[in-house]
Amino acid sequence: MHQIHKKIVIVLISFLCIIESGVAQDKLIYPDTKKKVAVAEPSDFEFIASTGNYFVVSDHGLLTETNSKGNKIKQAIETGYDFEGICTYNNQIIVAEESFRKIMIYDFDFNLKETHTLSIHGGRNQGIEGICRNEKRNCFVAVIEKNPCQILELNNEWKVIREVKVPNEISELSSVCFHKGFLYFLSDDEHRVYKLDPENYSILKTWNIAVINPEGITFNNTDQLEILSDDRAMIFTFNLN
Amino acid sequence: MKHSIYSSLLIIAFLFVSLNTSFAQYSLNKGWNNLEISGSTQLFYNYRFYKPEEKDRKKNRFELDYAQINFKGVASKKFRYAIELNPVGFYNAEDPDNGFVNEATVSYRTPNQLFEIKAGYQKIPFSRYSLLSREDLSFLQRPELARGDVFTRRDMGVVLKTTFWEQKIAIYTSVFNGTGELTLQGDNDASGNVEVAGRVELNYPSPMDETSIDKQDITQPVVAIGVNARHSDKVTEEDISEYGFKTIVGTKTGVGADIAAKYRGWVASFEIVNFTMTPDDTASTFLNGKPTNYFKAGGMIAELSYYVKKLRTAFAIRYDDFNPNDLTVKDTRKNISGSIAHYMQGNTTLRLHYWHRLDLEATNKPWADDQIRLAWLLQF
Repeated sequence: MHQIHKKIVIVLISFLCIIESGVAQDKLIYPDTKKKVAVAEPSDFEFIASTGNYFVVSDHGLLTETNSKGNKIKQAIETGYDFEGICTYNNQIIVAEESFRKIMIYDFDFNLKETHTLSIHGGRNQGIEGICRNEKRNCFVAVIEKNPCQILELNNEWKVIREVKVPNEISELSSVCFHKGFLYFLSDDEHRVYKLDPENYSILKTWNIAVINPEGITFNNTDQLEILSDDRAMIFTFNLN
Repeated sequence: MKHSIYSSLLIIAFLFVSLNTSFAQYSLNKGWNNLEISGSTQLFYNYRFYKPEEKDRKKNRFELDYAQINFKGVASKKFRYAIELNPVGFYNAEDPDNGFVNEATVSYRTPNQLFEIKAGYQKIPFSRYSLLSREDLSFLQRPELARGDVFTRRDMGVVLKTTFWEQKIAIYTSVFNGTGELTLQGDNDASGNVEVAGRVELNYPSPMDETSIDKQDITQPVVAIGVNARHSDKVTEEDISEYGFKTIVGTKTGVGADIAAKYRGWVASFEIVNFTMTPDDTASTFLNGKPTNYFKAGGMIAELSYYVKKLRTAFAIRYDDFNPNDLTVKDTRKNISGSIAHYMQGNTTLRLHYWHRLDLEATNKPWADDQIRLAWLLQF
């Protein structure tokens, strides 16, 4: 290699080292346990305290119930195209169908009871990514992933009643859940969990998690954080204390 | 001359800072039917470091690289379709990476998600670097090996994709007309033969997204290994490519392998591709009068990129070489390239690419000088 080429390589490597040292990466927390979930490309889930099971939705428009080990118990006959969000409310399962902007409501026996269509534009993969009930403000909270990242409040008639100002620290969101008086948001691109005040949506705490493609968030009956990885079809459990 | 370069760069810089609008894709829904509209456009200024005696300096210019509009949809929850149009390609018929129609396909995935069949005009599943979309490349231009002058990158045909092991393994089998981008003119060549191509990918521990920059800063290492092959036996006379063997009268067999790894903003990739070509005419100029009935062409690509998330900026370095004919002594082109891409608000990207020639093939094709290019990409 000619001398000039060596110089080019040395300069580039030096430059990268300077950048790397000046822009320290975030400290990660690692899961305590992990387990497979028998659903292909799972995109969100909810822990059901009464049974210890999970309701899981997937990129293929499937609603599935698994046991605590992640094994499939039953699956809904009525499917969607790209389910991305799930929560339970008043003994109903609320499922967000991202591509077609629908809210599909099932009972606990997986009978489809209602379907509502929302007016949300953006790309096909930029509809509702996560949904939960904000018990403090008596409304639903839905998140839109990016371009732009949005937090919406919906009433019980599935009308958008407020567009919440997204905190500057958040650039992308993939799921949301409500646990013991607080909202928890999950970001796939940032590999981060945010704990928010459910009244004013200010960030109270953040955790950087070592999970590939985190798409679902819930808490189990021992208050452990559980994260669902879409690409790996696995549930990762963290002790936040 | 220097003054004009600085003026041009200042104009581009001004255009950049003037833009402060957020864009995204748009979609329309009707029942279980969906249509998504998106697109991208890229303007660049190119400066080539010509030798003092060079009189023809036409490559120093502004150019609209592409202005692509994509229509992608889902019909009745079952069938997907995609139409990608680039009006700039209408004026650029000789650029293999910049056609007027870049994709026109219909696809169907079985309910068990194991098989997907895609029919129409599309990319041939061969060469990782060729399969990456241009907006997701670290560099403004693909290396010589994968630009579209060595092998056809798109064609009319059918691809069957099969996935196993939670999508960690993907197998592509395909059949095409074998005439490449010229297939849009309608007919096959006189032989009526088809080209077959196949690719197998192994990803671990999860499928790797198809970009050469780790903008997600993934927190666990992901590795992707691919092998691919293709074969044609044609009598195509028309070939407007740089080297004249994009399609040949005779047989052409290509094999390749690639590996890529991502972790915490870093992406390292390596690819090797080789073709063995046997012209029907034993007196073909490709054979250089040597006592053989075939010749080989091929090369390699090695790339390393690093994305600094907090600066929203990617840095990359690439080495590539290409030998268009193994029967010619000292006939290998070698390049080293560097790039910087800064991702701004509003889905716009400022991209800089510098090429340095380490060595040239005997014919000095397609060009011999170093070059720098500054581009402005906007996606909506």
